[in-house]
Amino acid sequence: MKEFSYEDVTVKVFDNVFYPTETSKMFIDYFKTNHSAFNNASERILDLGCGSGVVSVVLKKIGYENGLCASDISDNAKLNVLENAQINNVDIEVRSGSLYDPWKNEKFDIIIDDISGIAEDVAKASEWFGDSISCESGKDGSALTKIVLDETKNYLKDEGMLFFPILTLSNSTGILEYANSIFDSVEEVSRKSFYLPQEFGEKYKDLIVDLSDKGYIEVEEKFGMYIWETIIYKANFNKKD
Amino acid sequence: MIQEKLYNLIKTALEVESITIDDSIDTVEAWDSLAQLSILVAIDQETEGRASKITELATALSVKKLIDILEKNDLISE
Repeated sequence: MKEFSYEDVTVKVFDNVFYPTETSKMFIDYFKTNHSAFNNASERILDLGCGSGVVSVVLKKIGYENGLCASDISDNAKLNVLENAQINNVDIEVRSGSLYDPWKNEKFDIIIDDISGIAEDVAKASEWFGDSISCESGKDGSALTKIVLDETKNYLKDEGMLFFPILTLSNSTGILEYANSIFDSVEEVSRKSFYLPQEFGEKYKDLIVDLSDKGYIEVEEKFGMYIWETIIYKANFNKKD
Repeated sequence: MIQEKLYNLIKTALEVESITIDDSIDTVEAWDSLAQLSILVAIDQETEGRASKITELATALSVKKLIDILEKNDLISE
């Protein structure tokens, strides 16, 4: 078992549960910065694809009074969140199941989608996903994100907001276009750059070039490294006019 | 770009109050590999994409080294 610490909060990460990523940190940073805008005891937040539950636990620890719900496809993750909630003395409703399945007929004010996809060939080549963690997001890494975007309307309240990440190790332009075709408003709220490890870049240069040419990933070669980005978007169905 | 601008870019990327010519990855706790990338991306934006062609910037892990390389490539002045 591993541990992960962020914002003075430590959570346990069980074996076979996805270790928190920089995307989770970006969500935490965003909701910490915008605490006054989103903290509301009468509103519910859903942490979708919660893994060890780090986002939910930290939000509660930094003072979010909202009802926190969290789910993950893994039963082991559910147990992991429950233990982390107990250790940190916070109240989180946890369920297990695929994507929105655990929350049939329920609606949320804020949905934090921490399920992101990367192009399958990159996922297979990298060590980010263990053998027991599925990453079936298709050739261009868009499949899971598109399913979440499709289904969100059934789980978001009228005034609700979805926060979702797009990694440019996927067809980020295609996913963004898809999101814009579904929601009335899609707005970038956070962006961070990362680089592929040098050994990975050298070993898989041909693959990276091939996937880039096909539009499956959108990386840039800068400073002798392959640079990719994670971008967090806020989406809702409220027409601006 | 003038040096003062570089100092401001580094301070913003590292989220620190002050930075000096003697600072480096060894003296600033927040200066890790991701912070280094944030510094480089900011420099690249400021130099309109010219910095990204300089591969040795990736391993310039101190303020002095960054200044030396940018000076060598005519991308910074006092």
